[in-house]
Amino acid sequence: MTSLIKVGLKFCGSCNPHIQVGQIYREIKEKALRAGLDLRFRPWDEPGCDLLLVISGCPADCAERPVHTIREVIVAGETLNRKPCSRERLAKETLTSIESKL
Amino acid sequence: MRTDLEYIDSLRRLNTVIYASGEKLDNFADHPLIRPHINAAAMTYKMAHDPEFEDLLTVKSHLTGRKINRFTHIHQGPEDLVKKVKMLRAISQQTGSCYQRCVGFDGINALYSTTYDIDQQYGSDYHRRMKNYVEHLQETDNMVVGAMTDPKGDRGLKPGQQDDPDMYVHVIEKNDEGIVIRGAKTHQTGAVNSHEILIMPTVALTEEDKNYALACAVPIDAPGVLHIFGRQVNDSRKFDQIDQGNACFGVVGGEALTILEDVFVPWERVFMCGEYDFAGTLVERFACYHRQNYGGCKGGVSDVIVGASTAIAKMNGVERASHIKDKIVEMIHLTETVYCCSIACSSQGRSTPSGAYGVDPLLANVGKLNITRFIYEICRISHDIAGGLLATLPSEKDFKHPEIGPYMEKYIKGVSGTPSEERYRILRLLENMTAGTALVESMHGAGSPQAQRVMILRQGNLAHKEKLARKMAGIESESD
Repeated sequence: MTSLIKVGLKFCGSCNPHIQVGQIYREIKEKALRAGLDLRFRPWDEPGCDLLLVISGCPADCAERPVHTIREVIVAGETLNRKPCSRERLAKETLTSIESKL
Repeated sequence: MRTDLEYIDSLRRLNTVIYASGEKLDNFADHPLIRPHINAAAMTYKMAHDPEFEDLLTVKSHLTGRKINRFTHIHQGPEDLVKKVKMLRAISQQTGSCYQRCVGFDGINALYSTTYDIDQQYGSDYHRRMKNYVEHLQETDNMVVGAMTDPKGDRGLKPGQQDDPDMYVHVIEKNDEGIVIRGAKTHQTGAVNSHEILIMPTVALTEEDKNYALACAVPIDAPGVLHIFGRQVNDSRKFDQIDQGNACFGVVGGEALTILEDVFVPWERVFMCGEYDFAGTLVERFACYHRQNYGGCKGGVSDVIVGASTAIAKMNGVERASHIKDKIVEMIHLTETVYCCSIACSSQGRSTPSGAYGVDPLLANVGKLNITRFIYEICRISHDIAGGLLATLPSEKDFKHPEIGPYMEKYIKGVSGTPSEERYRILRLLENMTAGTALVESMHGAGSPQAQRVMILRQGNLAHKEKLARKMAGIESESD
């Protein structure tokens, strides 16, 4: 079991999403729980977050957020950190990316 | 920011006077004719509090620095204009109908920049009042109906030439406290479930009609204000459930004829009073903002229609037919084309002297003109895919009837594994979204097609195009 990690969460607004951002978020949360990773998802603008997770519905990734203030993991459509990632692997790979940045 | 439930509760505290089908409504917030439109407007409040959508639905106020609902914001750059379009598409995908709040949003933006320009020319005090008003809206999160369209009477005559001077809203009295106005505004989307009315002139004016050069805000339940709710095609279905198609959110926006019978307006809420030479500017700015919207909101509505068409094709067992796929492609093509126009006119937005941003007028008008055709085409294709049952389905009462219900269950069936009621529901949704009132709204909302054509010709820069041709043909040289 790792120590508590505060993850700021930001969605894009989903005007024409390629992925269901809420569904992806729930999958990530569930997988983190199962892996014993103590992630606390907080509003993106709450102070003291260890990492920012942005989940955008498509690769345009237009969600507004602070630039380069903390480490980021970016899901944008079927991409993870700007690289293609299939829908099936998205939640698992995102969790791996979060762990690698901590 | 208000929540959806706070918004609905706030309507109950108003004394809005509404008549529908010959009756005065006592509890309009729960009346079946009105409630679906209230639910749709409430979505603009609900989504602002949902982390999944807040990036589009909220923004930081340039006046106070506070987080506000975007529907009360003054656009500060092209990014704001683009976000507006994306927001409209996202909300439409949740409601499948009009949520009405864009009209007031466009009204405050048009007036914000125009009052600044009026003050620059006449040294008046309108822009300060307007800023205060916008701050008040941001603080209260009130819903505002943007009231532009006058009854107009004889369209061949100017306001002052009409037999009845009330065919356009006008000032009948001025005193130290404010003004008194009279007239009416027609097909006012969302008026009955708004908190305030923002009144604007409907045409460019000349000096002889300066009493009609009027912009002001009044509470929706101010003395002298009453609303006569408009009928829609199939609106008696609002007393059913499944037969409504979209039982929660209804169709279009719920329009009303709003009567203004000697309504007092304090000076602090008057934003134009006699400056006839700015009436045309205000109308044009409002129209461009409003035409910008349609690729967003109708784009989102069309997403639902495409989805419903895909679903019914599967239920009918024809989804693999190449002509069905081709029709779905055509619907997506048309949907994304109208969306493109709205995104384009927003990304090409420009600053006004007030600092607020407006859209590219040519692209906004091209977008709305496309809407007057493409939505009809999208709906036509959906009818083609759905089949004639769309227009011949019996009632939900028959479906649930103990004796004849089983026949409905048996004969409304499509492919195995899909309950008949699901097919019934999708057909009713398509009927609701594609037939009747929704089509006419696409044609005339934000101005009839000819209004867009006039703007397109004016913005089309024909002299430049002709010069290009003359140069290429060797008639003119580079230096001409």
